[in-house]
Amino acid sequence: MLTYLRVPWAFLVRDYRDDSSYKMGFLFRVASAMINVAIYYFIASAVGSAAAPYLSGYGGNYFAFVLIGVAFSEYLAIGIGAIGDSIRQGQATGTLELMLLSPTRLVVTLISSSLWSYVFATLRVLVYLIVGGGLGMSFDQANVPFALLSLVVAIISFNALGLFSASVIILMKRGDPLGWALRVSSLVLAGVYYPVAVLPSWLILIGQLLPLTHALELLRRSLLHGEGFAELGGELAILCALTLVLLPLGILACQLAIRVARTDGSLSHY
Amino acid sequence: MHLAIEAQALTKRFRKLQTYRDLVLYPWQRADHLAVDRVSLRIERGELFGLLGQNGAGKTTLIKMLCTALLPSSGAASVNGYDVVKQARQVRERIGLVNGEERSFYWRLTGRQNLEFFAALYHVPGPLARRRIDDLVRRVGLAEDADRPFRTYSSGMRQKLGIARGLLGSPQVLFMDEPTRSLDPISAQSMRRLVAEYIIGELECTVILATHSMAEAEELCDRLALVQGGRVVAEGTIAQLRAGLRAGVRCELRVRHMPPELPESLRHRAGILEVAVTRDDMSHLLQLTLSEEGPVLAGLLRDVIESGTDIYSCATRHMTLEEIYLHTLSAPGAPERATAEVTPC
Repeated sequence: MLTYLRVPWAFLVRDYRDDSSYKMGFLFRVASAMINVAIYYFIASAVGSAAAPYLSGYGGNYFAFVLIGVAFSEYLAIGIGAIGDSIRQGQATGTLELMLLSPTRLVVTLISSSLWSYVFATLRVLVYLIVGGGLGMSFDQANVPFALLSLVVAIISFNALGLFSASVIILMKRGDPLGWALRVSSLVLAGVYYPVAVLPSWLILIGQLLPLTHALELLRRSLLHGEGFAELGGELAILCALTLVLLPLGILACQLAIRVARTDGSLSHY
Repeated sequence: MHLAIEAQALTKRFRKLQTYRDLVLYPWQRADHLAVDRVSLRIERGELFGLLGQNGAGKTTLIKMLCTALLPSSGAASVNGYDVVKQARQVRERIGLVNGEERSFYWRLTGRQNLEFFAALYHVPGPLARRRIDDLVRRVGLAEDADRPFRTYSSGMRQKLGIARGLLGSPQVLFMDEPTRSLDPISAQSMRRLVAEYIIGELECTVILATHSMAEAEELCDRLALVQGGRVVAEGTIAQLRAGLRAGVRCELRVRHMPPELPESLRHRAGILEVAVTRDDMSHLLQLTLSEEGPVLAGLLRDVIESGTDIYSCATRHMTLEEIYLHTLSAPGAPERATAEVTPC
């Protein structure tokens, strides 16, 4: 077991060492999470109870609603962007080709390259939730085990999307229209800042194809309402199904992209 | 025979980048650049095989295909019996790559931290990795600097770290692409010693070395391939390359009282390939290229003496690798550069 964890651990250590060498950058990214919480707190105060009719399924509190949306959508941003960013960095530094020439499997290399970003995102999410708790957000009813299970499935599905985005970067080097489209459509259609119920029905339908929509539904209702398998089993099944479809396709897309890059000799180009 | 590398008609074509104008005017035409052209090689285990050639000759492309970074357009190759296309993972478990690329490290990590990361990718267990890294940084002369950030390294130190990285996975076959490019003469010499004594002598690796340094190739390589225009134009030991040229001996005669017609008559003598004459105050220097010593040299000296010329000194030597290289790659008929072909889709 330890053998299998050696490579992911090496990536974590590498990225921690690299990231923590930029001391101010490290601190500023944590501080910016605190400032974001304050901004959403004041927006929620301004909105007041006006949004309550749309938020009855989530406890009726806009601050809690938006904070969970913003905090956990960070995982989506990481999922879509981190593998691609790591590949771009590897192309620019010339390390990508050497990593891919090692006996480590491609999928392990790619997924491991995003791990530190997830650790850091978790740190920021904790900052969101702790500061949010300090400002009156309540987790008294939270079903934490179910929320964690939902989060794990969600992260895998976000990584699957990231593999598609990484494939585009392997081939096009710069410019990632797919990643951009996934990020924007998720922010608009998945209910990060507002409940999807406010959208036209045809947009709600499109939003159902996005993993973030289901992930946020699962996280909000389990953390704010304490719901679990009985109420959210169907929603979790949909997210699992999306993940099972997206993940193998994402791996296949990356393998094809690497094959094209090995054919045209552009693996180390940037 | 145990072959470390076998390549059969290995070929690589790259699609040429087309301008927007070409894409509009000739959308169905595809221009290819032939980087490696039907290269066949057989390299035995434990051999140190050199690749020599000008920039753009195809050496790096050939190495990249053999170490699975690049897919061949046609032909086949195997490393220690494993096909480089169908069994790429098995190939990667058995090879190491030292490229001349100095930037291919994480600059904010120390040299040791970089090696720890790559050791994990090569599945070297932690305690063994630490021991191996200690040993390798000592051997490449970085023991004192291993814990300094990589960004503070000089070009030579970066290259030394690249050599240490190439050996982390205990490779059976090591590809070295211009490993001493940025090293000063003393470091280059110690690196050549490392290759000969440790990598070949102790580790018993097979080494494929692409280099522009004739001294390096002459000192290290068991056999060599001269590459030009993507083709191997000559292959063998230095003695075999020299024999293949049929121009293996240089002869220098310092003479006096030479009749003016002597050089021309020597040019028509069998076995004398080149004659050059330079004159200083009192004497002439005759520089000749002979196909061989023995009878050709004896006949030459007899002709010179019989012409009434006084010989003050006579020196012969075999052609150096640099002379063989220049002679072979500038010979008529040798391909000058990679060809470009236009193939309709």
